[in-house]
Amino acid sequence: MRVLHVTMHETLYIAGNIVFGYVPDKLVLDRVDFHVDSGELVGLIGPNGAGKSTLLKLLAGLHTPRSGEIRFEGRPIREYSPRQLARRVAYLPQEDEIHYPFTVGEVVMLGRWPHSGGAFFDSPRDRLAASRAMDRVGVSEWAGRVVTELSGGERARVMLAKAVATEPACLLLDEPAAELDLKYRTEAYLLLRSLADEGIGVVVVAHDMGAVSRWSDRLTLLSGGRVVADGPPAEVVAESVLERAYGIGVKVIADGKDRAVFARGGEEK
Amino acid sequence: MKESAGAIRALTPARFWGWMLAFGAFAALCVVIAPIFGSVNISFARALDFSIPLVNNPDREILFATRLPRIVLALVTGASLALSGAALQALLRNPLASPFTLGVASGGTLGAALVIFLGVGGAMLVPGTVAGSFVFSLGTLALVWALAYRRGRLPTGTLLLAGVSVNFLFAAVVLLLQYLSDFEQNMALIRWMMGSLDTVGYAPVWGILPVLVIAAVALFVCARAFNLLALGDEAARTAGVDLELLEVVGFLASGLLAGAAVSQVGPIGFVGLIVPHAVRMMVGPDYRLVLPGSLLVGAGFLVLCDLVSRTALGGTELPPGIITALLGAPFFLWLLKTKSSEVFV
Repeated sequence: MRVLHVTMHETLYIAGNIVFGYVPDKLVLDRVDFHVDSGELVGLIGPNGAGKSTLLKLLAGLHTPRSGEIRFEGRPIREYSPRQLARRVAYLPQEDEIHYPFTVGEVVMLGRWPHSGGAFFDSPRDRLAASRAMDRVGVSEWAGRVVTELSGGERARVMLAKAVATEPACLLLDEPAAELDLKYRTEAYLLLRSLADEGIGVVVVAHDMGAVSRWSDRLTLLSGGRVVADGPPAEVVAESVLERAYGIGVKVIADGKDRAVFARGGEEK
Repeated sequence: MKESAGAIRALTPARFWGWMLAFGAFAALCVVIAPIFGSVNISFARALDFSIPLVNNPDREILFATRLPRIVLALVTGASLALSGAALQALLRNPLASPFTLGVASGGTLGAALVIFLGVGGAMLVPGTVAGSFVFSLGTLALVWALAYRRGRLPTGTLLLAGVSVNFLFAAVVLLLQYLSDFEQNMALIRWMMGSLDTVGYAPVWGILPVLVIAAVALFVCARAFNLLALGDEAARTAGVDLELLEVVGFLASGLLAGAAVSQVGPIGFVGLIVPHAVRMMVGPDYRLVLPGSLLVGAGFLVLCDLVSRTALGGTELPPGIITALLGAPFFLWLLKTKSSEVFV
């Protein structure tokens, strides 16, 4: 049964005219506009090197744009302290990195750090939130397992649970489902969908066009550091749009909300 | 819905104090056992009988003027080295880091070697080797800092390479000084490099204790942030951790701890490498337990090693650095062979 939450959809992020590059003479993002509302699941797609992960990092406050402004809940993000922003926004990097053998439960608990207020001990409130997040992502039974002994896909789910445990207003996820198999990928998107339906804004960087277009409310297509399309999946996942962005022949087969995308490299057009 | 809160290994006050009690008991036990043994047998009843005047009571003289100061020195040195190692393993995210990784110990050794070689320091308030070693430890810290510092950060890889390079450079200079030294100077330097906890009175303890107290408080406050650091820079920063501040605290605390300990007792190895691992094996990688646990276990461990070094060969003392290595290395190898997946990554 699906519970319908009646929520006011408010703008969480609004980024205008973002220009950014890591080195002086090369732009990664060139006058990018982006926004996400509460309760909205936005898929960020595009070719390799298009600037998707970079845009996500800018939203997370890891880099500052050269020009343009990013506002979160009405305030420029540079006015937030890192911890203030961390309480409202959970960011999941593409590569997970774990240097010591923490248990799954401990890693998920680390998602509560922004709320700890400098306290030394884990509060019962933190444990409850972590426990709920683990139940939602379906990793509760691994609570005592050492995270470094899990497979890549299992670790991806643990990291997702850590992000959910923060109980943020917005989730920024860089390829959270890339290493997941068919079943868990669907479960991950179902979870993101239900989080969005509860009023959380979710931004997902993804390459799997089928899954991300199936579950997203909106897709933003980046190519060469620019937004080349932004709209409902049915409009963005279209042959002419994708062909221009990816520079390869594309065939799209639509069946209701499902879309299958085929690349036609090497064949005669 | 399945209840899973019980399975999460959270840090509650009960769990924390339980471990601290256990580690504290280990350290306390070492302190109680250590003074009983020594090159001469003393009577505790006589030593603690304050009705006998001190001049007629050699037992009391031995206990209070030599054994206890030495035990307290071992206690604070072991605590400092183990805490320094644990902090550096957190900062560098490298399980092979030890207090000497930053090059502080070779800097300190060079300082002591220079003092011995030049024959200065006879007329100072503190022994010349201690002063020279401490000054050079601080200088090494400053040098490694300058080499690794990049726009507000101390990047892990650069820091590691800077420390290792400085280590090699100073070791080479020490070797040169050794080559140019006469026999007597050489002996003095070799003895210094093996480490010594031999002391009369508490002066060396006061050289270490203030650093230990301040560094411990600073590191314990940062313990939870060090946990996040283990998940990578981006995870830590987007959680709101002030990475720049955390790196400064970790670098200064571990460097000053190593510098203070090495300048007073010489470069006693292995304590700072193996104790954090032994603690991690028992409590897991949570730095809120690993940092204070290393402090307590390191303190007890060095008292124990010193006891062995004082008594193993009867009347002849062994340098404590040899004992820590002889006890530590096999333990570390056993750890590597059997527990590697739980302790290392």
